[in-house]
Formats: sequence, structure tokens, C-alpha cells
Amino acid sequence: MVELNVNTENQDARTTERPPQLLILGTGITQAAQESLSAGFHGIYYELPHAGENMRAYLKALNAQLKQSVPILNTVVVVVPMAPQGHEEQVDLQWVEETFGRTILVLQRLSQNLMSSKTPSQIIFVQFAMGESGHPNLITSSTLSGANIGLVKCLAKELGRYAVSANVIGVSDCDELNISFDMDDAYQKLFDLSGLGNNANVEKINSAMHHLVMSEMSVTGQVLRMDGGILM
Amino acid sequence: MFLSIKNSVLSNDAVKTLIHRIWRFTVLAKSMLKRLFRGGSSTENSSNSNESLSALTANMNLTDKRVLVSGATGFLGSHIAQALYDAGAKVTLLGRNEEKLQDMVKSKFTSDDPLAKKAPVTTLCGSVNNQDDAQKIAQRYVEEHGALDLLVNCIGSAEDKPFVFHTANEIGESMASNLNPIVYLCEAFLPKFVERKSGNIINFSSITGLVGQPMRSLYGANKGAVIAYSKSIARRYAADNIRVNCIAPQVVTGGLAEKMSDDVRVLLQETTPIKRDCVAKDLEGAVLMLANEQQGFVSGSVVNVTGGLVTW
Repeated sequence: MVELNVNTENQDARTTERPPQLLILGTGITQAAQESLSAGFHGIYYELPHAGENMRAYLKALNAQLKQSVPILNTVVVVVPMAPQGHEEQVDLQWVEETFGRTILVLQRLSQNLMSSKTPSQIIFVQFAMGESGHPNLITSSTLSGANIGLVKCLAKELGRYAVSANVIGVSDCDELNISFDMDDAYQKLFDLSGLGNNANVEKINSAMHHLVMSEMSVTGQVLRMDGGILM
Repeated sequence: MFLSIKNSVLSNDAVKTLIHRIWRFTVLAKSMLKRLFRGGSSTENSSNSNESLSALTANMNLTDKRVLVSGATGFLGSHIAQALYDAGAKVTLLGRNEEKLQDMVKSKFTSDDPLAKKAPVTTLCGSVNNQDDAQKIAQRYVEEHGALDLLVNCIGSAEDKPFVFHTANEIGESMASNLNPIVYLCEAFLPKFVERKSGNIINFSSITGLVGQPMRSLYGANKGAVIAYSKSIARRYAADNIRVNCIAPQVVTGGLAEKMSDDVRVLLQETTPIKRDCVAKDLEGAVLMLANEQQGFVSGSVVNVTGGLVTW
């Protein structure tokens, strides 16, 4: 766990009087990336549970940390990991199930915090953009991303009445968050032809997070593509 | 009377609730009366659907196409198998219950008409709990039939429950019943399709996987995963002349629609631009369309069967 920005003097002008209380969940994200991602927010970074981790103990520790550092949680950002190398040639359902299952169990717990916060709250997944289109060589990561998109849309509809919005930021390439891939040749050629291709970085993703937080429920159940126009 | 209610008994909220309940009752009653007096269900327009499906089947050449339908003993699977059989395909039913499979063959696929030169329907009984199961099924299928032309996966089940109440076991079970068997079967048959440089897969997803639905978060997630997986393999194997598509229906009369409460069902029907319920025939039409070789350039798509309800 790392305590993130509490310097409200340099706070982003777009944030409200009290900065959004943020929890970032991720896997192996560097401290520099954590800080860039959370600029303008107050909150903590916490590692997603690892394979085989005791979930009861994990949730207890996370809860204690939240009580101490983020008492009024209203923004949860899940940086979804990509499948490890060697798990993409054929879909690795065990990895999908473990990663998806652990994320759900954490989100269930956090959803209760968000539903009771009595302020507009957000769940934001930052993930591999190809959950929408599929990827011929990254089938495992695509499948997990597709599951998350389905989940987010269901959550947007189910938790909306509690003022909880849920969105996905689909990222094509962001080394700082360990989200990167090679496009297959066909897409690369089309991409080159379009002349766009600004990859996302953590600062841009942070900006998108502010946009979603500021929208206060106007934007929910959406996939915000930050892919330089690949999936236009 | 109104005054006395206002002044003494009911608060504004209670009055609103009462009015809302009366409105809901009126809507329900209207719908039930409609069903009664038109001598049928709210699917009355499905006769049009039947006629157009017959026309479609007549133009369809699936004769001798070898088709495996998984989830064949389910409501949807049995209808899809029947439609493919009617279109001339050599259908094999895959299910977990041998008795049910045999009953189906006897009741639905046995014809007394000697002129109906239809290939007999065969069955394969087995569970698809892991990749080994699927490999064995693929092996048995190939031994018996030589090769497969079309795999149709009609697998899935949903349970309505608030997101926060799902247990860890339910998360696994939802994957095991909505995503895993589809992936296992695709992975088992894809190498065989690659060898022959020909193959066609149709996976049933759901509109919930595309646009979400409250209380069905696990179902929606797994159906979303089916779509992403199908698109991925569609792109991966396109050069091997293998097509992969999904069908995303809304709830179907006789299927998941039966699990809905009457008022939600009425609301769904009223808000669907084509003013009727989705029926099995609608999905049969979608399957026949994707099965047809004339659709040979359609791959990686999700066919939305929602009567115009979801147009995005």
C-alpha cells in the first residue's frame, strides 16, 4: 500500500472542494505510475490479491487500510492486468477465472462502501482496449477484458440507483501500467494509414478519470477508448 | 374522499405508490386480456416469423452439412437443432443426459414420411467440464462422422441475484456454465477446422453481454467474455477459412423469459419496437443465416436479435 497525493494546494482545478477519495487496485505498478495516475485525487494504491491469496485476510487488511486512509471512498480504479507471457497462445481459462473471481470479490466489498457513501461514486476499469474487438494473439487478455465490459455494463445498471457509475477506460498501449501489445499486421497497417496513433500514458488516463468523476453519473456503462483511434 | 385520504391516512409517497400499483395492475390486466381475446400469447405475430423462416429454410442449402449442436436438450438448443435438421443438415445433438437425448430424437426427429430424405439425427452424450472432455467429444465426433462443418454452442444459464451477494463458488459456477464449455468445444474443434481449412462456429451470447442488465452481473460478464473470445478466434483463424460469429438475443419466450416477473415482461414487450416477445423462431432464423455459406464473408460479428430494442 502506498499513500498517494494529499497535497491539495496543487490540486487539479477540476476536482471538487473535497478531492475524490480514491483507491487504485493494480498489479506491480511502479510508484511513479501510481502517483501520476492519482494526480488530483486523495487516496491509496493497493495490490490486487495474488493467486491463492486468502481473500478473507486480504479483505480485512484492505478494509482496515481504507478506514485509516480513505474513510469516505468514492472512486475505485481497477487496473486490470494482462495475462502473463505464454498464457495467450490458447485461452487460459484458469487465469481468467482466478483474476476475474478475485477482482469480483474485492469489488463486492468495495461496492458496499460506494453504495453507502451517499455521494456520486465511480468504479473505473482501466484495461486492454481489445476486449471490444478481440485480439488474434492475445485471446486470454481479450476474454478477460470482454468479461469486465459485460460486468461494468451490468453494474452501471444495477448500482446506478445508488449513485454509483461504472465505466471502462480501454487503453491500447501504456507501458507504465503494464498494458501493451503488438497489433497484428492488418490493424497496424490500417492504424498507420489513419495517421493517428497517440498512445495513452498515465497522465492522459488520469485526465480521463477526472472526466468520469466530474460527469457525476452522466457517463456510466461506457467504454472510453484511449486507443488513438484503432477501434474507431 | 380524496380529502380524507390527504388529511388523515396517506402521505404523498403512499398515494404515489398506490397510483403506481394501480397503473401496473392496469397494464398487466390489459396484457392478459389481449392474450385471452386473441386466442394466444403475446407472441401472436410469430406466425409471420414462421412463414418467413420457412421461406428462408427453403432457400437454404444445408443439405449434408455436418452440424454439432451443444446444449441440445435445452430449450434453445432443441429448437436450433430442429431448424438445422429441417434445413437438411446432418445434426448431432450434444447433451449431458442420454435419456433426454434419446427422447428428443424419438419425439422430434423421427419422420414417418418416406419421401422426407433427411439424414438421421445422431447423439453424443457427455459433459464438457474441461478441455479433456471436449477433446474426447471432438475425437468421437470425427470418428463417427469424418469431419464437422458447423459447431453451434447453445450453452448458458442465468440466475438473478444482486451483485454483492454472489459467493466465490457462484462466480466459478457461472463461468463453468456460460463460458468454459463454449471455449473448450471451440478449442477442441478449431485444430480440426484448421486442418481442413474450413469451419463455422456460432456461439450464443446474450444482449446482456452487450448492454448489461441489473441483477445478472455474472451472467453479463460471462456473455461479454464469450463475445470477446469469439471475436478473437474469428480474427485468429479467418485466414484458415474459419468463421466465428455470436448471436445476442434478448430473453426468449420459453427460455429465460419464463424466469422474469410478469410486470418486467410486460414492460419489455411494451418497450420493444417490434411489438412482440422474442421467440425461438427468431433465433433459428439468425442461426440459419450465419450457417449459410452465402454469408461466407461474415465473421467476428454479433447478431443482435432484440426486435429493435438495442440498436447500438
